[in-house]
Amino acid sequence: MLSCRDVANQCSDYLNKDLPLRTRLAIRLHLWMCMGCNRYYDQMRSTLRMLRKLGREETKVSADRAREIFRSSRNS
Amino acid sequence: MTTSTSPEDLLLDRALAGDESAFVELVDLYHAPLLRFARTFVRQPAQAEDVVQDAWVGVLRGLERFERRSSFKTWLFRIVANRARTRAVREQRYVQFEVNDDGSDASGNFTPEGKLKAPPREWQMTPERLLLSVETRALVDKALEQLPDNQRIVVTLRDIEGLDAADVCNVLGITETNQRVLLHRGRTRVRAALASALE
Ligand SMILES: [Zn+2]
Repeated sequence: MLSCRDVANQCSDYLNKDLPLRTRLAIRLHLWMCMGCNRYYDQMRSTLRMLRKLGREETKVSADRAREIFRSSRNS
Repeated sequence: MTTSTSPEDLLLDRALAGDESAFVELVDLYHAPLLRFARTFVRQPAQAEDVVQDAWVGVLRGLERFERRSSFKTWLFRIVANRARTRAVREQRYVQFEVNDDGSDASGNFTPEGKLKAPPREWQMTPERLLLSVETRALVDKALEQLPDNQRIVVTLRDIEGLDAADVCNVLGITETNQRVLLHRGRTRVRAALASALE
């Protein structure tokens, strides 16, 4: 039986779907039975979603800047 | 590992042959992510911009060759990582990626048997609102800002830029274990920072 600490330590790997099936099932079972870990896991998942969203919101650079870099590579 | 020709490959070939519009497309795809990444090493925005410009110029002048041993994106990030690191060393900043993974937990959240002492408190915002809110976005930025350099670099590559574990190891030249531990610690800290603002 996994402890809450085990679950917290493997939370990141679990979110990456990086764990063997047996461990995944053991974690899922623990999350189902333990309200505290369940909430912790939900918060980690929200955290991850917010981080991923930052990457989709990058502001673009202007084409002028790109042309400037391109031309500077041809000088000197 | 060889990867098949990607659209970026073709853009690169055209840019190297002198096609400016192909280069503009590459910059449009990658400049912003590379800049964000460079800033995880060198804090001054102007210097980060320099590092990325330098990397592009290196690519255009053929100083950096794409050998297709990794994805195009991984290759670009590695060029920026190497240049940003050189720059950081010059500023006498050195990022250490070696970490001890003793599996211990200093959070004080657990009993000696490993049970949670108390459940984390609920956040005063639904998951949907968390994603949409401007304030939480600022909180995430701030939390990232406050991470140790090594954790911020790994979290940025994995979670923000979406590279996989192998790519991150390749870009930074670090072991899989160090990558995993830094990612875990970084995500844990970002959650804790959000929790202290949202509980
Ligand atoms: Zn638990």
